[in-house]
Amino acid sequence: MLTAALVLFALAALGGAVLLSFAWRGRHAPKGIALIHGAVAALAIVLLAVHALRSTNPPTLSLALFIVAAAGGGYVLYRDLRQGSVPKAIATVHGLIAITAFVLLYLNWSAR
Amino acid sequence: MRMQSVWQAAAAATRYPPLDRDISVDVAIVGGGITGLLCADRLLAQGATVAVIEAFSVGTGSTGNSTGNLYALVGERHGRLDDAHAPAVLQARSAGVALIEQLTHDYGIECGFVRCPWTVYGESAGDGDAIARASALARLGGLTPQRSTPSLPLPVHEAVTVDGQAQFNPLLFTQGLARHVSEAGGLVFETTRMQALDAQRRVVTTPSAAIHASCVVLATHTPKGRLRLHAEMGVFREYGVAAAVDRPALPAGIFWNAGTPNRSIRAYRFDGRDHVVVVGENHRTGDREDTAACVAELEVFLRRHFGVRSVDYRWSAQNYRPADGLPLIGPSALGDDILVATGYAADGLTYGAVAAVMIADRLGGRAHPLADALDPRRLPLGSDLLDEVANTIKQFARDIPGVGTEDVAQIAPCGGAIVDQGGEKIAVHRDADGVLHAVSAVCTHMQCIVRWNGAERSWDCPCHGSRFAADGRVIEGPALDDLPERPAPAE
Repeated sequence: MLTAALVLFALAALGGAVLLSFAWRGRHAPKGIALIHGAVAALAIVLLAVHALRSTNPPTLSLALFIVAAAGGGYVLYRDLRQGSVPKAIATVHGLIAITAFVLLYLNWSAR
Repeated sequence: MRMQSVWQAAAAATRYPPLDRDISVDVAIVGGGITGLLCADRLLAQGATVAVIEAFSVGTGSTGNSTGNLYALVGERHGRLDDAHAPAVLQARSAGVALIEQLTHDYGIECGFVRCPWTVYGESAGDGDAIARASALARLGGLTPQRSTPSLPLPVHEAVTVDGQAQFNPLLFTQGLARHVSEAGGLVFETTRMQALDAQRRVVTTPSAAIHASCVVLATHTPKGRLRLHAEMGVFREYGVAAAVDRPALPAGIFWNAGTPNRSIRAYRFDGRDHVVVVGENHRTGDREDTAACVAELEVFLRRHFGVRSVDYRWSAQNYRPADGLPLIGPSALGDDILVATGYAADGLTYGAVAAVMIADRLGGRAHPLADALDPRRLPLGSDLLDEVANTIKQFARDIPGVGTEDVAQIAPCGGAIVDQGGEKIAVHRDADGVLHAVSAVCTHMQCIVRWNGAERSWDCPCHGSRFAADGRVIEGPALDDLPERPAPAE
């Protein structure tokens, strides 16, 4: 389950990188990619949460950071839809938090 | 294809000035259709100062592209108007028709208003349930439905008729109303588009000036801007065709078929010739590119059943269907002093009158029996709400670079398509001379990708119904801003 979550987070990261590249260039962020990015990340968080509940060495910090990142992603989407522009700084911080969470998760996975 | 309604052909152009200076009034009304002008009339009658701004010409939006039918019953959602709300809704609609009749007489508006029967007919036994439901609904509203055998050149298995409904030319009525509003001291401005609304300060900004008001009424068919209610309504386009016929082909009245495809038929005498008007072929806005085929279907229907001499007028209009079947009239989520009137489905002319009465009652401090039921801030729970949310998500999901795009070379003269240009989707139109014009394909309302509407040569948003001219200018819908221009792609 942890491996599946890791793979899904990696896929979500790819989508996030594409979205960030659009945001940095001041271009319209494709909503189809945003939906896939969000859905894959949400599924990965659910898997990670289930794993954390069952594990003796739960990746608690990683999970917490992913949840914070998810909240940031939701806010970025809200701002994009309501105001027509992606807040670049928040989108970047959202990505950095997710990357940090991903690295911590990878270390947890590789230490098994 | 030239799109002009028979109502527009029968009316002269109006000339009200654009707003060119800041003004202050009690009520600013955005939208010069039947709802906005009836609101203005009712508010003037109770002593308020009003200003009406219309982006184009009064009555030329949905009002001037409707059926011209006025009736107490409701259309495609017989099954959705629940029994609890039906009596009050239908009585309010009957009062709305009576109000229009009264104003027509009081103000001497020559719009061909006549009382006439409303008939729903079934072409087969399978339509019996729909007819029975219409009868039951009519009785709930205090009407008297009667079995009938209308003389139609169509197969009629059974029919029910309700007397005392009405028909008129909606554009002539609205123009007459605008004239009266103006003479009574109201301010009417044409070619004046709302650019922004400061809901807290109640300031309506236009390109050249602002209106400061105590209250703002958004009578734009669907409110401008971003509101939750946009996600709760399905947006549909419907088509109308008027054909000159050899002789009077229909008895007086409104005729709806109970089955599918839905058709609304009426007669209209104009320019010394008898016409048959048929309206139908509805579909979700932005769902079809070959919209000319919808018009063609109606023409085929007319030619099959009537002695058509020539098909003279073709038009289309948009309607907004609320998830719970009830319109949304009253204060909006933007504030108690920002009122909206929307969600009329295809029954808008009569609901326009209902909205005017409700809004005048609210601002006059009088209670209206439908105020709570039609409160725009309600949450219309149900499967239709899920359908609308799912539709929006589906449209967003199609927004992936390279998906749904076409090659520029495939765009025919007078056609349009979405083209990928360096990872950005642009909406490209080729005019009759072969010259390409490009605008952003991203709707300025909520960023869905627009689609080409072939019959009307417009870019239509499939999410919430914003529509833009081929050059990107806003035509209707919730969007406030035009589609920004883009460099035309190389061939």
